[in-house]
Amino acid sequence: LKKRRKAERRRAKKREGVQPRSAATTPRDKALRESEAKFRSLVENTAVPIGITDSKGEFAYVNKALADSVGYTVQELVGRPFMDFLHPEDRERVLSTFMRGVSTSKEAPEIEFRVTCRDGQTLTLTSKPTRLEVDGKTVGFQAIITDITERKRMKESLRNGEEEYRELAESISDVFFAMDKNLRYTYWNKASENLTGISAKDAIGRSLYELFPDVKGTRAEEVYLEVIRTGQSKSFVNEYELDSKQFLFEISAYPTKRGISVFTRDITERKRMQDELQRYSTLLEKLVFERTKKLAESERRFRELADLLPQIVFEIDENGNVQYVNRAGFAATGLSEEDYRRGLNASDMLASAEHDRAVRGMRRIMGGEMIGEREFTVLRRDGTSFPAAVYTAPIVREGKTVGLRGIAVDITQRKRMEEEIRASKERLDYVITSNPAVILTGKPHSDLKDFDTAYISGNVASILGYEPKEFTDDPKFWERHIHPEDVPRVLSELPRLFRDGHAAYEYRFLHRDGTYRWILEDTKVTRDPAGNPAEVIGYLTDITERKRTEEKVRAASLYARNLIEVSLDPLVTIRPDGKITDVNKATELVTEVSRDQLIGSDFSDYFTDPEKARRGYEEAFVKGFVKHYALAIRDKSGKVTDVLYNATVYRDETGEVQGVFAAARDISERKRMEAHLADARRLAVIGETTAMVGHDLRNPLQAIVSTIYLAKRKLESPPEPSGKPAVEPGLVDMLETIENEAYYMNKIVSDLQDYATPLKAEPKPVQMESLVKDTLLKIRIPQNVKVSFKVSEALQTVMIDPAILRRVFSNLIMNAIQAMPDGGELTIDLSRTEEDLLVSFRDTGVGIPEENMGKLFNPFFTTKAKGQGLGLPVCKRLVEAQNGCMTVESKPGEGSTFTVKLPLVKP
Amino acid sequence: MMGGESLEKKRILVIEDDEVVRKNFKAILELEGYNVDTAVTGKEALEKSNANFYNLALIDIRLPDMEGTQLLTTMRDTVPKMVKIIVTGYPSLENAKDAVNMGADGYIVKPIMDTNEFLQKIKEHLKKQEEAQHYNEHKMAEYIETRAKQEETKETGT
Repeated sequence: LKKRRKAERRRAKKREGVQPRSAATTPRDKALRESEAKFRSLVENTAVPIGITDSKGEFAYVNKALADSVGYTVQELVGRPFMDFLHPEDRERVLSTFMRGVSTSKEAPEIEFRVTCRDGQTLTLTSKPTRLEVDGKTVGFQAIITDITERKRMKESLRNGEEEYRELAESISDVFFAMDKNLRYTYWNKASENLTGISAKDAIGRSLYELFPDVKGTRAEEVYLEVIRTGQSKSFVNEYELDSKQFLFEISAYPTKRGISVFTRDITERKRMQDELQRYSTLLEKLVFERTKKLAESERRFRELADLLPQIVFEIDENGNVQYVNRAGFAATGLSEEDYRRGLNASDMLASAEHDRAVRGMRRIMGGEMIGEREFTVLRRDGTSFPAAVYTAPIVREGKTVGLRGIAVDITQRKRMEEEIRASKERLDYVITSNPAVILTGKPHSDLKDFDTAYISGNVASILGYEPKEFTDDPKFWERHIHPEDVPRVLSELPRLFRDGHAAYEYRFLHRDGTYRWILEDTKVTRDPAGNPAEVIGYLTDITERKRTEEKVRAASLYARNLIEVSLDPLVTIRPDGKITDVNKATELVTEVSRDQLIGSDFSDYFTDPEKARRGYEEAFVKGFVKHYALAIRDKSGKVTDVLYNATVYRDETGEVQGVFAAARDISERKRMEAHLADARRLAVIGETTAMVGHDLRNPLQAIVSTIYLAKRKLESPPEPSGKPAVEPGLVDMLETIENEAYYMNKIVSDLQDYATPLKAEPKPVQMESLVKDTLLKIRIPQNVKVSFKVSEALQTVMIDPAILRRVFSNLIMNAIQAMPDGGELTIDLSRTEEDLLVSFRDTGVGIPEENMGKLFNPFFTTKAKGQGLGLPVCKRLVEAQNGCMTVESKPGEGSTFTVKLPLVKP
Repeated sequence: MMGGESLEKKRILVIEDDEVVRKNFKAILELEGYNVDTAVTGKEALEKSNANFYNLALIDIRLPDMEGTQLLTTMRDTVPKMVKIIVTGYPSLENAKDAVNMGADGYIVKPIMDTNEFLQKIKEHLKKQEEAQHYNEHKMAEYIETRAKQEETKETGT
């Protein structure tokens, strides 16, 4: 790191040193500068890389060409040591050569070196650095650099190439040698040495004539000279005798730059083989000719036979080319001998969609597989086609499968018949299976009381879940699956079938899934010519759905009548003359008159205003209906029931009006409810108002309470030294009174809030005993009231909202205290039953008069002079919010007991 | 009488739009020895609480320019260490829970009938705040000491 910092500093200094340049002063300087500028521009623009280093070997100047060649910018190079860019392996060598060079002369010898470019590529460069001197002192070095990377690479590959060829030439087993233009050997390979027994050392440098004196005038000499002269390569075969053996050589001479190269191959063996082959071939041809003649004879006979056959006989080779077709083939396809001679392929004769299948089949057969009849569509010449059943077998010649031989039969007729059978079968199947009825036939018993099922259609499975076989195999199957209740009836029908020739009966049949299905069986008997029953034919249909619908209709009408009967509204039907024709139970109840008496009597007799009643039904007959017609029914005892009548006319199938159907609605309950609702609405409005008032009151209340606090504090503080008059003694009491009233106002407001806002209880486990105790602690009990708290049983925790319950308890305690203005006893009792927890508050106060008991929990009811009447309603509401309830017992003059009942948590 | 044990007067911000209530609260709290500032609107409260330090703020749930809960949420971010007490009208439990969830340290029901209880509550909050601060300082001192010891052993160790 230190080193690098130093180098950076050095470079920085260098950059600074370049800049300051004092202005030239003399003409000589100017000339010099101009010349320097000229020189500089030359150097800058030349493509030759040039660099100057200082005496320490750091670049003082580089031109653009140098920078470009190594991939750096000029600025990056200046100031950096030249050595940094050298290939590490070259550094020492370059340095020593360089040092040696420049120490003895001004110019170092040419040095070759490698540099690493910015992109990591290595360049090979040469340079001849020269020393730069000023006044005999070395100030730096200048170098013109030549990039010889490419040259190096070329040389390298050339050298490698030559070597390769040489190795190749040595390794080939054929004789190979080269001669110059004077037929002097320049190369002699190993094979040449082996063949001639002359070593390469002895051969190279000598001439052809020296080594082979007999060569003069031979074909070889002639060819070599011709190749040298014409520059065209030439080959010839020469015969040599070596070691008393005849050799044949194929000699090829190729022109080269320096002479010729000759390639000699021993073809003695090849020639011998060729001759042998020729001889055999001639012999074979003769044999084949004789054999062919015989075969042709046998084939002719075979063909004549084949032509007699009515079926198409054919032969194809392995490529599907037709080799033979018999006369029937030509006739069936409309092809001519002419077509055949031109060449036919099996694919031309088959529908194109079947080609792939045909090829696959052919391969299988040729592979030795036996394949039976296969159907193909054969094309005729005129474009029509016919279906054919084809039988083929492989043609084997000399153990090799060479094609197929086969017979094709026109099966147009057969196909048509098959199609007809299939279609008619399909039609029949469709008729039977699509028919919801199950078809059956049976064989009559001789006693003519029953029959055995002989056939039953397959769709029986879809209706009853059983297979036809189950019916036909077991004669008792059918009877066993009929609902036991239906068996006697069905069996009694059967003799009638045989007597009348026809019968239809319904019964329940046990489906495989365990349910009963309603079946309609319709059977007929066919008779033989003698008139005796021959066969039973019939069908079964599933009528479960129909039965169900019938049942529904029956049930519905019963249901409708029941509805009318059970209706709480009095219903009557009235004739146009006003006589009652029918009534329901409710009418009997409301009139206290029996049904029998009602029917036939006048409708209007049962109302407080008979005239209005008569007008009502008359209106209904005229208009078709009346709605919400108000009447009052008077019963036998004189009790009046307010009702609203809705009445409409009813008609028979022809549309003739039969009477009026009148329904009364007892609205006495509704009238009561309406009164309640009005109350509730009033309460809701009050609730909303109080919520708002309560909210707005909080600030004035706060202001009053805090002012009282401040006033009291002021009164408490010691009198000032100035000696103001002593405080009026009653003032504190007055403030206390105001404060109490403010407290009371606050209670009214919060009670109102409690009553007006929705409650949300948040139950948690609570120990009731401590809750009651806590509540008691927070209430100021007057001296004259004695409180006792009894816990009759150890109690577990209860799930309740403690905050809510505390409010209830404190309310009840306060009420009790208020009920005993002259003192008394408050007894709080905590006990439990199986399911509930009971907290009772018993006082010995004034008690509640009988007539007030019912209104106790109504809002705004109070007996207290100063009560707002919300305390108990709020308590009730709070307790009910916890799924509890509140009860009260009281005797005037003896006291009251309020009891809170809360459900216990199930363990 | 001093509001807390520290020598410095505790600072309280009363945020209340009712003039009489605001003035009374200020007077009552000043009697207890607190340094009391008031704000009429939420905006004013934010400005004041950003400009000055307050130990505690009483926030009326309904303000002329915003809901007290909204103010609460904002102040939770701007002055997290200030004790924030919501003053609500006749409350429901929901209301109070919301306030606490939104960062209130406590809630007081208005009208405050028992002023002494109210003052006690404020005192407790301030004491808790002081303890928390004290605890933090103590923790910091402890931490510094532990670190110092660690460094020491390291020095002597090498």
